[in-house]
Amino acid sequence: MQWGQIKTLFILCFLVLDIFLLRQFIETREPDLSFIPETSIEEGLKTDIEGLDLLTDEAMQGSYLYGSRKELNDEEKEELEQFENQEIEVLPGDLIVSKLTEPVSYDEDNLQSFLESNVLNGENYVFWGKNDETNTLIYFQKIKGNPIYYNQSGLLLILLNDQDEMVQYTQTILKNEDDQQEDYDLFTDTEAIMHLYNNTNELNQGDELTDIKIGYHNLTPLPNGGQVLAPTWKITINENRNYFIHAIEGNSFPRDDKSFLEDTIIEIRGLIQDSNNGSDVTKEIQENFSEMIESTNWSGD
Amino acid sequence: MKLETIKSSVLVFLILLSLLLTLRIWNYQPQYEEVDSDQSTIEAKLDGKEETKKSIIQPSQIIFHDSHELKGFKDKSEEKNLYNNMQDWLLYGFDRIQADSTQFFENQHQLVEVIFPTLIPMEILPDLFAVDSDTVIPSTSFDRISIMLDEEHDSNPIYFVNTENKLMVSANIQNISEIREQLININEDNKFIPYVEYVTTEDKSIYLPNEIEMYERPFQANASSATLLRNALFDNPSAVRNSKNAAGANIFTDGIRTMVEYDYHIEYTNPIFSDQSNIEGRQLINETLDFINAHEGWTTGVRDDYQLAELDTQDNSVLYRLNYDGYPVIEDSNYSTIDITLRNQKVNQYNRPLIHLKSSFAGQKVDMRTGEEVVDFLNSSDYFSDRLIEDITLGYKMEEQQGYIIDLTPAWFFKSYLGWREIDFEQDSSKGGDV
Repeated sequence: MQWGQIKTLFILCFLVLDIFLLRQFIETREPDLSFIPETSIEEGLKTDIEGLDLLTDEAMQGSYLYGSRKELNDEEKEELEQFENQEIEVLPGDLIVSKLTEPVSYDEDNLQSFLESNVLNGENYVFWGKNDETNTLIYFQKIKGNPIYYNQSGLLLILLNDQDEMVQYTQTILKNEDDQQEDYDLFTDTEAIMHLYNNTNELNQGDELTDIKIGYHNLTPLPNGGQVLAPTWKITINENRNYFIHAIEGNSFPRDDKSFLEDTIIEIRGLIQDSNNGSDVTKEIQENFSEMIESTNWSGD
Repeated sequence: MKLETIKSSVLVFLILLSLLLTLRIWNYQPQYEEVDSDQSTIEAKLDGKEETKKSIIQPSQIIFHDSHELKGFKDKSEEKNLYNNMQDWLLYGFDRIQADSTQFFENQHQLVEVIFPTLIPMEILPDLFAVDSDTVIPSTSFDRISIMLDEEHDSNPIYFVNTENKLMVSANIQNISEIREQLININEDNKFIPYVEYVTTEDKSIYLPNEIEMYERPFQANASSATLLRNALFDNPSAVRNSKNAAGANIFTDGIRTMVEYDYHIEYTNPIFSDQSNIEGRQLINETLDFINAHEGWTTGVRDDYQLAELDTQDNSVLYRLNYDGYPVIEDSNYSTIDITLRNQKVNQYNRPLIHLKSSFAGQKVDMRTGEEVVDFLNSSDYFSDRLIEDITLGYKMEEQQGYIIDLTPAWFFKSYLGWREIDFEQDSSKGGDV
């Protein structure tokens, strides 16, 4: 063969090789990132669970909250004294106990206005539920507009009598501390329910999502009363089951009214006992709590 | 002619281009955005050793049965060397044996017995020994390995024995005759001390050294910083707050997890509410090893190390115990043990010492009771006669002097369902034994 022909062959070979290399090069420069799935509602979840149109899948940022039991200042104590129809005691640990001299009838429509004019910072409490066994109304405190779920330090507990009238209440107030916190990307509501669906066996076919809300939640306070509160999704299923999903880490926490109430009532009764406050108000509440603890079946459903 | 010049330059150009592209492709590193770059700068390592399954699972004793004599190495480090050699043996042909191990070994008097502190799942064997990859390993567990030294056992010379249910698995060793010769040679060397046997009510043989040379050792202890552990154990360390409780312990929490810092140890809890699923033994060891290695948590020196001491697949928990010179260090406050419980592949509980032994001062030789005296004492003592002794060992007790001075004092210990306790020879009862 002629040198000229060999050159032509080489040119063709290298042309093919270069085209191949060029293609490789371009591919490595634009790495294929399609393996990162976009958040979309999984088929399984879609077919099993109803009410998913509540989800917004909106991206959010949030941070941990730091709180501690609020110490009441003189102004606030004065405000407490102004409330009509109430005998109020402030016990150590800044626990407010109050007796309504005349029972007030309990009516879902007027409750919020009752709080606003009869309870300190009443507008900051949001109705959580009524517990029939202990005959109490549970209110959770809000910080920055979001409820703090199941926290003994931000709780309003209203006791009802047999005629469903409000007779007594106990209140604790949580104070938000240092505000400049690191922001985290939070799980969206869709991601939260996907976590619940994928990592637990709690959701069954036919269940309906009835509410999903962001709030704050923790399991343990510090010994000095300090609280680290994590942004947490509350997911309500069929209007009666609640699940809590840590919005930064994704783990789920089962919480229920009953065991929370049991712990809380025992705790408050202990505080009242320790305070040695001999007033009628505290005595009466203590008796009521003792009766509740004994008469309620805490273990069963 | 002109065309040929053009062709030449085109060819040269194409060759250079191909070289250039090849180099670019080789050297190209895509620029991904670094995720959590601020997290990686947080210091979260205790600066300890790295351990492997091979190094963390070690025998507590190797005993030579020579006719009716029982012997063990005078120097514990020889035990380690021999066991390391054993790990190169190639094992194959595993087989369950339908015989009770107690009866089987009653008539065997030429063997080497390797004793582990706890039951170990057989499926971890390929991680410890050279095992033929085609071999099927029965899924049982063992706490002793016996290597038969007489030639009648040529076909399956090695037995993996479970002293709890008395079940056995036999296997073959490649080049058994050579290995046997080595073991017999070791046996003839005079590096041994005599051992005596104690048989428990469960028909388990326990071997006690009869000549003892042990020293009391005072140590300067160093404490790891709780901040490093906080960084290692909390996903978002910057969110963690802490405060002291009434007893003076420092509690750290991110609202969910808690870590309690005491003077010498920590207790960490991460509540996990998903359903419990059982984890098999091998995975349990893998996961806990990885977990501790990740924050370099094996804080030991040259003569001390952590060893697998208990493996509970019911509770999904693993206990690693500090050993000094091959002897276990025993106390009850997590000063010398790392205790981990998993739940759904996540660490649920982690209790570990904050202190680690640093420099040792010269100590005094301690006059110890011989194995024979201990056996006689146990057999004659009213207190122990009706007590279920599961195990006996020579070890060190850990005592706190002041200001991070720690004494390791040699002592005899027995294990009952309550765990390890020191044998108290002075009174006819045992310290803290009655609960």
